[in-house]
Amino acid sequence: MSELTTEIQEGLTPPLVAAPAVPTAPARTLGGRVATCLFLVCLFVPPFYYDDDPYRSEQFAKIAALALFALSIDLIWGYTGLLTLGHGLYFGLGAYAVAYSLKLQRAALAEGRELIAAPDMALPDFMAFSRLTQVPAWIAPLINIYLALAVAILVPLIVAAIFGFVTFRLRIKGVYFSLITQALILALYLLVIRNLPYTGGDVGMVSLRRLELFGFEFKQDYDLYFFIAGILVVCFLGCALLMNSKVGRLLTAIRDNENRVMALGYNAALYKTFIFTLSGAIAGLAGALYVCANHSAGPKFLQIDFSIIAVIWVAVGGRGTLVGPILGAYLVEFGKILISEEWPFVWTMILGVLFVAVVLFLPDGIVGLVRKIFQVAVRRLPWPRPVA
Amino acid sequence: MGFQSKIVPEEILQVKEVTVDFSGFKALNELNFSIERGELRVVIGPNGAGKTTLLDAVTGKVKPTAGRIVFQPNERPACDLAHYQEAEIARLGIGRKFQTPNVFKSLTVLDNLRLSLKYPRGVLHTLMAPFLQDGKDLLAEILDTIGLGPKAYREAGILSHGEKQWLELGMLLAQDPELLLIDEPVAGMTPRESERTGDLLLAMARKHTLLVIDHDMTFVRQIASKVTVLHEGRLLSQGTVREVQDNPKVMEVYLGHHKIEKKTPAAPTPAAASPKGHAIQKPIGHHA
Repeated sequence: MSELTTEIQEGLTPPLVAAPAVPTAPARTLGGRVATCLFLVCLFVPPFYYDDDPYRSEQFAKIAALALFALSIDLIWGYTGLLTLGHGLYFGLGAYAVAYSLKLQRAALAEGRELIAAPDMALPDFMAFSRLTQVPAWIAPLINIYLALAVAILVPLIVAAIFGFVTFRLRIKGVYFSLITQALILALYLLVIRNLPYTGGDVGMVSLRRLELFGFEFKQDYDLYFFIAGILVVCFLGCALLMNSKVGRLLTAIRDNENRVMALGYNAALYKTFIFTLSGAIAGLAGALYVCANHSAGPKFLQIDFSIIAVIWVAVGGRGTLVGPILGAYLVEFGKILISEEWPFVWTMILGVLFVAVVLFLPDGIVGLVRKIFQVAVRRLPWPRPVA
Repeated sequence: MGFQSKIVPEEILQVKEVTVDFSGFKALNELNFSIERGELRVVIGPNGAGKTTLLDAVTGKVKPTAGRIVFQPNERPACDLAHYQEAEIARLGIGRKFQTPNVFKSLTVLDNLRLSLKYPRGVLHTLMAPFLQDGKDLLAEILDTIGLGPKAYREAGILSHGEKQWLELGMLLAQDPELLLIDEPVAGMTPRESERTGDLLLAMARKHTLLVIDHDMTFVRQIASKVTVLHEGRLLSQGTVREVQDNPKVMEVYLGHHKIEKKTPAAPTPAAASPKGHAIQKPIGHHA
């Protein structure tokens, strides 16, 4: 018998020498943690820089909501490897829920009424134009902003749960999954633009009331930015906790090798449904917050290009990391604003080139690049080295 | 750990009259075959004999066209595997190692093992699991067994071929199944790696029932006490390595009909493979 088997024999009986122990983790994650914390703090900087410019504040408040949306896509694409090209569906559901609320509130305030659902409540303009006589019963209760926010999270959550459960149960994956997500969002898009009396049709809902929560009205987008960025950071931390737990590792394992996960006895479909549901809920929340900053909601969110651009944010920032999608959304969207202010027509071309360049040269996005540079720096430069 | 004494032989797996029909081609043809608890059984056979299909049928990857596969877990009622899904069969206590290394390449060695540990597989339980604390002692023991302790925090994707195979064997150990199905563990390994793998399998056989598929005769001689030979989906012969090698039917299949012993894909020409072919004819008692 070789050394190896004798070692195992000893392992069976109480060992005479010190028992083998799991080696402790190397310290290399520390740098990443510090960088992440710095990044989160930096998220709160832009409003201070632009505090005298309400126009920029609004843009940043919107970008913060879009970053949350990118985060939700990263959970299923970056970590679990399921490319969704129709995630705007969940964003749109959340957006419309809150848009109904703010629209109804504006109509009620214009007529000087209380903000409660009633059979004779004030009609929003687009419903009046379409000769509806009263607010439909399924829309009316949404005038309560807390209910609307709950709906903005729960409806996408339920839709995502059902859709996810069915598709993953049927083992639909890869490009077929991407196509089905597009088919679903197209269906909702058509439903929305063809039901003008209930949805505002092509235009959607414009000139919404400002968000008011617990008696505090977000009169300035400056305040709203901190609110949205705060939620973004909370979601980020929650996702970080989840992704560093066993579930996170398992989702990565599913991305790497789903068959092996099933051979281990895990029901991969349920785990995929779980993360897809969570992602749908976060996307819905992102849509709700976006509408608060955008002061209008429209079928733009349900168009396929919106969902695809969101995937580009994730790719540019670095998929499979949590900092990546947020960074990508901020950089790409702010770049879009700056560049289209100067040259309005070149932006789409730049976006296309950017995506191709990232796919070809930076498969891990900006975060991947930074990590690589950092690793090379650690290896090459004459630091005092930690003992491995 | 799910192991019972060999004093009372018990058949942990019975394959009864199983046929697997791939639209006309019978990969398994009314195969009858069984393994006792605590055994290390090696299944050999030329290409197309149905070795891998046998594993596929047991793990539920393909459903038998006819026949029954009965698994007898320890202290639990026997069950006909035809009625179970792949993941359910894994949870019943049957682990499988595929021929190619099948690890999670972007997870660390340690995380690969942690995910394999025998804990409930439900989503809720996984959500609540204290991932970093679970099963430390067992993990340490496994890392020691497979010799990957120093690489515990490396990503599995950058391990060498042999190390990946050992990691996967370690994952099976962590899964602690009652029956382990192992498909060509030494394919593509150097002789040294192959010998280490043999030692590792022998060590694993102390606590588990193992079914190993291989056709590297050197390796089979190292580990096997009992060998089953499959041919064209049927059981051709069964016995000790020596009995099997002396069996004229086996010689016919390996040497007569096919001219050469089917070796690992590395064997380039019949001329290069023939020494191995002769080895099978010679008495090998002094080897075993």
